[in-house]
Amino acid sequence: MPTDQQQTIAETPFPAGAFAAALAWRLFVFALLWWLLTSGQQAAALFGVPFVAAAALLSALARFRPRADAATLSPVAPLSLLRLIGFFLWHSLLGGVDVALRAFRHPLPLQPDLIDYPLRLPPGPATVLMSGLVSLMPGTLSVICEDHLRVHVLDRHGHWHQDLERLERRIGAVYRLAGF
Amino acid sequence: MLVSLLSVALLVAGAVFFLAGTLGLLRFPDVYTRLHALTKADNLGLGLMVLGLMLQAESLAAAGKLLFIWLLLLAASATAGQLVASWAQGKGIAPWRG
Repeated sequence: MPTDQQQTIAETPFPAGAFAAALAWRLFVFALLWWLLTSGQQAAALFGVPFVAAAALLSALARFRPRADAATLSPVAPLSLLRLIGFFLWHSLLGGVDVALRAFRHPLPLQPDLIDYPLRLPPGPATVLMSGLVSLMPGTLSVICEDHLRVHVLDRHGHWHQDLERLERRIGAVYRLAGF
Repeated sequence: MLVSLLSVALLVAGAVFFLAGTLGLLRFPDVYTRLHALTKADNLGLGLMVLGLMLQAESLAAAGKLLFIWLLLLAASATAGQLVASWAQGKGIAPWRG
């Protein structure tokens, strides 16, 4: 029911605590980036302060813009994020090795196909993250990302469906979505 | 000494993956399979090279900057790969099926 959803958004008070936490986190990350880019020079810090503050504020405001999918407002789960990063690093290593071995073999071990994967994740940042990570996983490349994901697979007989499901579950857990 | 050896090993391994990515780009049959080779092999190649260079970095900030470059490249290549693939799909280019 779209009207019910709009009402709940209007009635929900602005989450000041969560906003402050998101702003503090962004200030820290952007300050760290500025420090990295300027190699920690003190003279550059003066120029960085207004830009770090502005970038953190704009990013936090964009995150808390009211929208239909209120579920995205919950902050990311740090432990699940760490597990996703570990999962991603390991699988991008496997993905690189897999495609490198295929490139060196003769004849080429390719049985590619286009497949449609129905997404359980709601539209928004979770889906964007999913379609980006799919392209870096072994044997899969995301082509179109809408309510479903169109994926190009290198081996149509491989276990890509299982891999996509595992990735989707881990991303859902990071965004604290129900049912993941 | 040990750190230098490890660094050299990582740099060479990275170069092997760049070679594999380029070989895939030349040998694979269509735009979609070539994107697989470019996005995955080159990302891993650069990741290994960044690790190898981080071992020799002069400061923590320099090491962090290298890591940041890798993260930016991951985001850029995943996005660019998807853009090229969806463009090919929009043009009606059918994937090679072997």
